[in-house]
Amino acid sequence: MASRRGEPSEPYILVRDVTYRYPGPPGGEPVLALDRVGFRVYRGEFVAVLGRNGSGKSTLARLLNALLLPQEGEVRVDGLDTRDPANLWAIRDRVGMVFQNPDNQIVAAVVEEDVAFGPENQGLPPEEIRRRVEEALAAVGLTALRDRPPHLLSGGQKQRLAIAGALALRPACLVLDEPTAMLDPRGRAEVMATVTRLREEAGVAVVLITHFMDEAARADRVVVMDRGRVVLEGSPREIFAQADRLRALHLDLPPVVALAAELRAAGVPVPPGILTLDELVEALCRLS
Amino acid sequence: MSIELEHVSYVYNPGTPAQWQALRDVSLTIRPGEFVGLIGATGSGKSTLVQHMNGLLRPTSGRVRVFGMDTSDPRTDLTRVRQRVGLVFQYPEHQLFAATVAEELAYGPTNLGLAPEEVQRRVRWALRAVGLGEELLTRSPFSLSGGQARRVALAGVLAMRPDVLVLDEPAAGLDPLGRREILDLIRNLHREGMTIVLVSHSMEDVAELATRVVVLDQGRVVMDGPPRELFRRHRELAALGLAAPVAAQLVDALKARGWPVPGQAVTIREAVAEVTAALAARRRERRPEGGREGGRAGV
Ligand SMILES: Nc1ncnc2c1ncn2[C@@H]1O[C@H](COP(=O)(O)OP(=O)(O)OP(=O)(O)O)[C@@H](O)[C@H]1O
Ligand SMILES: Nc1ncnc2c1ncn2[C@@H]1O[C@H](COP(=O)(O)OP(=O)(O)OP(=O)(O)O)[C@@H](O)[C@H]1O
Ligand SMILES: [Mg+2]
Ligand SMILES: [Mg+2]
Repeated sequence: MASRRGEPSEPYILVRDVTYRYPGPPGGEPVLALDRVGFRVYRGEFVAVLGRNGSGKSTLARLLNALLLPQEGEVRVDGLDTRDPANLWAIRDRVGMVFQNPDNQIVAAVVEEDVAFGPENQGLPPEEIRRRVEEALAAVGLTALRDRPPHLLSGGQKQRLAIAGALALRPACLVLDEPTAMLDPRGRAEVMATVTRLREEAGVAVVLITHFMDEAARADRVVVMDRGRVVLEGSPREIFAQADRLRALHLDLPPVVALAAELRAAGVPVPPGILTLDELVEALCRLS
Repeated sequence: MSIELEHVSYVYNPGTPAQWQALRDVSLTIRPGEFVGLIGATGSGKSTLVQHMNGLLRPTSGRVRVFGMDTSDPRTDLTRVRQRVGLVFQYPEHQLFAATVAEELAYGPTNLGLAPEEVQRRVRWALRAVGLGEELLTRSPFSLSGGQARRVALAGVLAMRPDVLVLDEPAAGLDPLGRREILDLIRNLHREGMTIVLVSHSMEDVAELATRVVVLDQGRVVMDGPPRELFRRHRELAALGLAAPVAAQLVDALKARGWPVPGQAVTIREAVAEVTAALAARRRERRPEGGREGGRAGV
């Protein structure tokens, strides 16, 4: 990130030269999921991670809060080495995680108890737990469903519940693995607004793994993975100026950027670097 | 008619504190050869509705007939219903069960009573159709990445070659190339005559593919019509938690700024056509006043 160059600040999360292999099928080769990966997250930064299916994004996410440990290289969170078992809980307090499948992280029989589970485990006083549960439910728009059993929620509702559970721990960094994959347009907009608000108001760093290019367009920095390696890194404008490279990596342009490119191909002189619909409308209005 | 739902209501866990009415008096007919996009906010009842289409759920009241077979009639053979209507689940892990990908894909065709060579042919075809390599055949479906698991779940249903393919968010979690490939595959299956019901939160995908769009809200069908008409109703869609495709939003915004565009586009191609036509019209208007635009080649 160019603007940070020369700053003395250390990355909040540092992934250095990490290799990770899963055991293969019986009698088969192990699966190389991460191949000497380097990755950093600074305090309060919003990093989007893109990459084709199977490129190692979820594996990287699991290394960030010590769910998996590096087989080579190291991962440090706020200076804490994730391989040291004594650091485990300090790391989990700092890095919150929302998985690709929300079913896997539902723990309680009622929505609000599910959100309270983390803070209770941290031993917080009851008033503080109540306040955090209220806030987290409101932040994801689930207040009205607080008494429902989580397993009876729809797919999208479950995904918002999982985010609320992570938020209630007030982590310094929130890692979201495809949190909007099952959400309707309003739900997606709400999650993205939540991400923005968390960063601006609470200084929470966000690592967002997504297949939605328009979500990545809103990040401070975009990291692209391919076959277990980081292959591209830059601002959204830098990344989404490389349409051919992205397509070769099985990715694409955000819909608005694709629309601008199609207009350009049809002879409409839309300037480069457009990322949002408002920017496109303004650019077109300046033409005529 | 392929699938007919008449006054279908569905209540989860009736008579318990967790009772919940997910469908309310839904009447809907899916005709052979249609491509129906089913959209609606999270929790609006889409998954509940599509599970009625292959007899996985049976209506609390009302009637569902699949190729004439009443799914509530105890004499109906639900296996036959499921052979004709293939359902790809919203969450692959709810569908996958076998020890290896190969067994997962062979299960459906084997149950259809096909010869082993034909089963193997279908397995390889389905695997290729969803863009996976044969090296995955020996892997456990539960050791796959999110997108790989979704492709296997889709391949398992494709291998049965059903008459009606019902897909509950088939592209969720796929990378952009995978999404495009799967949607092209579905488009081709439709061209070859397969009837398609596609549940999706991507308005862009539904606008590109569907010939008819059905909108659910709180368990009721609230809109039903061609995409071009439906996606013009921006305000109503937003009120339902939905949105118009980006292309429709662009022409709508330009129209609001006084551009002479019809504002009917729902796909990128249509939006480009509207914008270039409007710019060309302006150029024609200005030309008689004397070529002020000398340097603006291309517009
Ligand atoms: N438990 C496991 N056992 C064996 N291999 C695994 C396991 N989990 C993941 N893999 C493999 O490791 C590689 C990286 O998987 P990962 O889940 O990190 O990918 P991803 O980038 O998150 O993909 P997606 O976009 O599909 O979610 C893939 O080839 C995958 O098949
Ligand atoms: N097993 C269940 N028991 C009780 N209620 C349920 C159950 N499954 C779903 N529901 C409720 O029924 C309603 C409809 O759920 P459904 O899963 O059909 O919605 P959906 O439109 O598919 O949502 P999404 O877009 O989030 O997948 C929701 O309010 C949900 O909470
Ligand atoms: Mg993943
Ligand atoms: Mg659903």
